[in-house]
Amino acid sequence: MSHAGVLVLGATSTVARSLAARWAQEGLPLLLAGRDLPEIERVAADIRVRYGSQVEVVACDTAAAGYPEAVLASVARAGPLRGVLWAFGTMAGADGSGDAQTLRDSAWVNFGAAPPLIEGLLPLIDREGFIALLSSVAGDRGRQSNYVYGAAKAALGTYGLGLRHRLSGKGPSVTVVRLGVVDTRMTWGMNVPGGTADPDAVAQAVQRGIARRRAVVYAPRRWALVMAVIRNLPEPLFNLLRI
Amino acid sequence: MGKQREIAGWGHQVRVLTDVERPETVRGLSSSLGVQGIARGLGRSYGDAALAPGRVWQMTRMRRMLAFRDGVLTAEAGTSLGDIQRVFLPRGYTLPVTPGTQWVTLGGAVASDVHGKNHHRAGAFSRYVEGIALCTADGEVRSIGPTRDPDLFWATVGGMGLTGLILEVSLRLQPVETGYISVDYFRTGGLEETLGWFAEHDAAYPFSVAWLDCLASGQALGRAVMMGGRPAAAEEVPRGKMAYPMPRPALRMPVRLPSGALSRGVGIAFNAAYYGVHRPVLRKVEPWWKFFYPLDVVDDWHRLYGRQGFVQYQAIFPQDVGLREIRGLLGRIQAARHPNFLGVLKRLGESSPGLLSFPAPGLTLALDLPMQGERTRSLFRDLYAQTADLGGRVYLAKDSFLTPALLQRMYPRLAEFRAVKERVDPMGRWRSALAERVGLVEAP
Repeated sequence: MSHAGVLVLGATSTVARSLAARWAQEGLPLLLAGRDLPEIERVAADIRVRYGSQVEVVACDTAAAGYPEAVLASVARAGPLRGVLWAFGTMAGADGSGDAQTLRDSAWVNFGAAPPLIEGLLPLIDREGFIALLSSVAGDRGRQSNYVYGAAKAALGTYGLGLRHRLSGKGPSVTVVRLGVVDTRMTWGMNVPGGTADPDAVAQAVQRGIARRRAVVYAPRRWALVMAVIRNLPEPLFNLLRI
Repeated sequence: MGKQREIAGWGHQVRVLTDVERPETVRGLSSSLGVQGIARGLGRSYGDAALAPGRVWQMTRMRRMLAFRDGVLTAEAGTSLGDIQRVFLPRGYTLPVTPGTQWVTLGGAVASDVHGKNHHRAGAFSRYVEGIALCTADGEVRSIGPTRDPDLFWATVGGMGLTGLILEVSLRLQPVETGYISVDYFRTGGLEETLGWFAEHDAAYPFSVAWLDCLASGQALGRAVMMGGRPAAAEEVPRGKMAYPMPRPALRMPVRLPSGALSRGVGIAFNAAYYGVHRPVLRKVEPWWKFFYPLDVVDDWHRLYGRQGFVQYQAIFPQDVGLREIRGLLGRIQAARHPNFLGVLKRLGESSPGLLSFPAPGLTLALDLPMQGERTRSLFRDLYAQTADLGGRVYLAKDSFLTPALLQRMYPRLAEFRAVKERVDPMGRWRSALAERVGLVEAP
């Protein structure tokens, strides 16, 4: 069969779910991938019932032995793609407090697992299509509360911008999404000054940024300003902050 | 990881700091179980039904629609009725029963066995529930329905979440031709005429309700705007309008008014104005959301009542209770000179087999009152005692004042409910502040 839909990697993520629903409403078929298959089946069922869209499910466990070859093989069987969203991520060990395995996993899930899979997917993606990587504002400046997570998300962003450079004019457009603090299960229970953003509003902004083939999208947008301030804060001042 | 949050019932007269979990995945939900507490949906129950001394599972992110086959929707318990309406109305299906707000989850609608303007003909919500996936205290997920473990099913509908955590609900939707309701408005001059309308015209309308002026004095007491509705046919849709209209986003109530802003004087004026703007007789074709959910046009409207919040009295009376008794009750509220705003009167039809379901044949009266401390409590003591004496009962989803002794008098099938609770949850793991207050579980 011919696919030409969007492959969502990490489809149980809250923002990814909202984005998938939005693409379904645009009429794009979907390929939802992730580790927790029963959960992804639920997300798929929901999109089918609500929008009558064509949704398929692919197993994708970044920690599995056959990664990424097995995933690549099943995606290749589905057919060419219109776009790819990378939405994997974990906060475990974000503040450096985990054991060695947790810290390795953080670097792997938040960044390391992306290049092997994305590079392999390139031949399958439409020239006019897109690749979107969910990075984080945590990557803009290392902060005590989440620098391990932030370091990996910064790497993911750098990878994305490099890939965009390489593909410019001859391949899909790459968008790096720097998410602010979104109201998801990852951030539930955190005390966030200024509050958390609604995931669906965030997904809408991301969808728009991708459609406009932007290099970097801050969502919500005010985080661009917040991070500009934080990046430029002199260190003595920065060190006074408990962030 | 849970979150310490201050939560409240819709009346906001009590706020509690609680450990709130908001699961988004089945796995996340199961890993958070194993402690005492209660599920919570969109927080529209007025009192303490969705508050707990232990953990509260806010189910609003478990809202996937899982299947739609032969008119039956299976969805996760956190799916709101408004969401269902938005997805299925354009396909020609509507909710078979809906309460006065669309911001109720499927789980909440089952747990309170809600009723709507069509109860006199269509019965309660549970009549259309074909199955429930229920996580019981032993950690099992049981699939129950009217014919699969019926005892547990009829204890779960109306059971206020105390038999287990409702995970999924299968609901039979109703085919419908348009998203409009054709409404006949009729203004009555007093309580006698109001009750007369119900006796004479109620059966002719699939939907009916009376908005009641409980503050008018003398003979005008109990005057009402009667609304009788039926689904509009395609040719009745106003010219140039879509057959399935959708509401605009709601207005917000940005600030809390000071407590006491809604005084008795304001109540009298508001009720008189509402009565006054309605012409004596009128037929109108209205979009579904306007007819069913008039209050949903403003989010957070509870803020009108200020920091002290508000309470609701809703009772159902047996069929032999009529003019004299209702007038007596309204008279007591008048005599107490307690402010009140919305008064709603409706005739209900057959009882639901739910062991703790509220609806029963007879008149139901609902009144919103600002919470004014001891003054309000003493009025409710009086009203509740009266209600029990008349053989009536109050609605647990609205209640803040019921006692174990009164519960015993009002709910004749309580012993059967207790037996099921004992069977599926002997340790009393599922418990809410309401359940502890009225003795549905043993207080710690």
